[in-house]
Formats: sequence, C-alpha cells, structure tokens
Amino acid sequence: MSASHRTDKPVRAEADLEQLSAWLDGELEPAQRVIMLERLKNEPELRAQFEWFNLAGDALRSHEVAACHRPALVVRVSRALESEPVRIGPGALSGSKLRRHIATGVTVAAAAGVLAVVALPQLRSPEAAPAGAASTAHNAAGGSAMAPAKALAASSPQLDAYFRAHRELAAAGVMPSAVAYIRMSGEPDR
Amino acid sequence: MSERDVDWELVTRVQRGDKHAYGLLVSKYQRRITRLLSRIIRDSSDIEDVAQEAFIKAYRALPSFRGESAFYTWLYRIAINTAKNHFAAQGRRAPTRSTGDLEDVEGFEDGPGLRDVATPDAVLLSKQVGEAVNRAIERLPEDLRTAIVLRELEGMSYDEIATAMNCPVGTVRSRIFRAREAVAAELRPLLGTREDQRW
Repeated sequence: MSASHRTDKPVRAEADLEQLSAWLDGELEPAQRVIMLERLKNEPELRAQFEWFNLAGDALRSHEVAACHRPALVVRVSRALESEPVRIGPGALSGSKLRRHIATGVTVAAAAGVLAVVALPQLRSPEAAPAGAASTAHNAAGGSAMAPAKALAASSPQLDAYFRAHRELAAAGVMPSAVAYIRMSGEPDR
Repeated sequence: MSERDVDWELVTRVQRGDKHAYGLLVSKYQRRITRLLSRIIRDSSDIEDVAQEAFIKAYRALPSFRGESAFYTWLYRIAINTAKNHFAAQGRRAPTRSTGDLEDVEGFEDGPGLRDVATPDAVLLSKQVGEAVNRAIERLPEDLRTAIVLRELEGMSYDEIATAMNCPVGTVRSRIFRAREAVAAELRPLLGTREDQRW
C-alpha cells in the first residue's frame, strides 16, 4: 500500500508546495499571493507545510531556535485569539471604506452649511429672512417644532421684548449670538 | 518583495480584521520568541505563558503598528517588555546584566547578550536538530545546497541567486523548494507535530 493510500488526506501536489515555498520568500505575484493566503486559511495540510518550511529555515540558521519548536503554543495563542475582538487598523480605511468616510464627512458639512444659511438668518431676524428659507426651515422641522415657539412668542409680550433685546445685542459682536448668550446666562438671577 | 514585505502583507490583513493571518505570524515566529524568552526566563513552564501573553499583547497593539521597523523587531520588543513585566510581577529582576541590554541588542538569539538557561533536554534536542540538519545538507546535491544556503543564510532574492548560479529563476525556485523539503523531512521524526497540536 502506498503512502497516499494509508491516509485519507489528499497528497499535496508538488506544484502547490513549490508555490508555498516561493510565497514564503516573497517571490509570488500579487494575485498568486492572495490565493495562497486564502488557501492557507482553509487548508490545514498546507498550513502544516507552511510550519515545516519555516522550521527548516529556522533550523538552517540556528539549531537552538529550531529546538524551541512548540506547536502547542500556536494552538494556545489561536484559542486565546478567538476571544479577542477583531482589531482594525488604519490600513483598513482604504478604498471604498475611506470613500464612505469622506462621503459621511461631506454630508455632515453640507447639513451644517444648510443650517447656517437657512436657520441663522431666521434666528437673527425672522422678518429679514427670505420667505422661501423660512418656509424651508419650517418644513424641515416638520412644522410642529416651530409652531409652539412662535405661538408662545406671540402670546407673551414680555418674551417678545426679550427676544428683540437679544437680537439687538447679538447683532453687535464678532460672535454675536454666543456673546449675547454668554452675557445673558452669566448675569446673576435678579 | 522581501520577507519583510511578506510579513507586512500579513500584518495589513490582520489590521483589516483577518485573525487567521496573525496565526501565520505566530507560527512563523513562535520558535524565535520562545528561544528569546528561554534565555531570559529560567522556569520552562513560564516561557510558554509569557510567549502567549506577548503574542496576544502584540495582536492587541497591531492596529498601531505602522511598519517602521520589521514586524519581528517590533514583536521582539513586546516579548522583552512582557518578560520584564513577568519578573516585576514576581518581584524579581531579569537574569541579565541589565534590562537596558535587552533593548539595545537585536537579533541576538545566539549572541552573548543573555546568559543561556537551557535545560539539558533543550541542549540535547538542539544537538539532535543540528545533526539532522547537517545530515540533510550533506545528502543534498550541490546545486540544491547552494540555492538553499544563498536563500536562507545569505537572504538573497531568487533573481540574485539565479544570477549567481547562472540558471533560470524557475530553477532556483524549484531547487529551494526541494532543499526545504529535504531538511523538513529530516526534522519531522524529531519535531513531529501531533494532530491535536495543529491549528
């Protein structure tokens, strides 16, 4: 009975092993390298051969290093890795993922821009804001959020006076809204 | 593409979430790391624990590895620090001249940087490995022997070996593979891996 019949494992073709040997030395083409890595992932026999070829290299360079061969250590580390979360490095943010991140950033910036154009003029002076913009903002808010505030301002002359004073103060500074807010909120309660 | 590039390719795969690629790096470097630690840690039962811890620490830190140094150099430093922490946890110092020496010396598995704390068993096994390798090399035809020595000991590329041996690159590739097979065949009876020790 030949060796190939003594085991149910497939006998690896010499060409496969020669390719593995070349891969270890970094002598395969990029497309072949990808295939080899996938095969190493899925074929335990090829992985075992990977280990033997590496061991042969270690043994040629140092007998002491080769004598430290502890296959059980690799099994232990592999088992310990199973409970580790997947670690993603910055290199992973390439290609489509990177484009997706950039697209997200652009979307956020565009949303902030729309907010600045539509909402800020309205906050400063609802009278001066273009009618279209006001209606856009109103629609964007679904109408419901703006309506109670308007109703409240209309129903309270004191609050209306407060908003008017706030707008006048806000128009004066470099960071008008913020300065006015800080000034107002910094004053002790009367 | 050099061996360092092969490692970097595996590292980038790990950084994209491929844990299996890390297993290949562990398999490749476990002997060098174990050898390194065996020269620092006297208790052989601790060596494997510290080695495992070093590999796991390296895995956790791998997203920050940018490839400025070779992967092994980086892993080596993690192993040294893990060994130092091991001694610190036990309230002891590493059995070396100074811990600074550990960081300054690289690629010194066989160098004088650390004192050898090998057990008689390890010494015997090392001797047997040496004999097996010598046997394998002596039996190799000269062209295979030259090819594997230029590759493994001199670190030459296939192109360089082809030029040196005045033969096609394909022939170099075949010779190196057959030489590796021959050395591995001599080592199998000595260092054979049981089925349950495979990953």
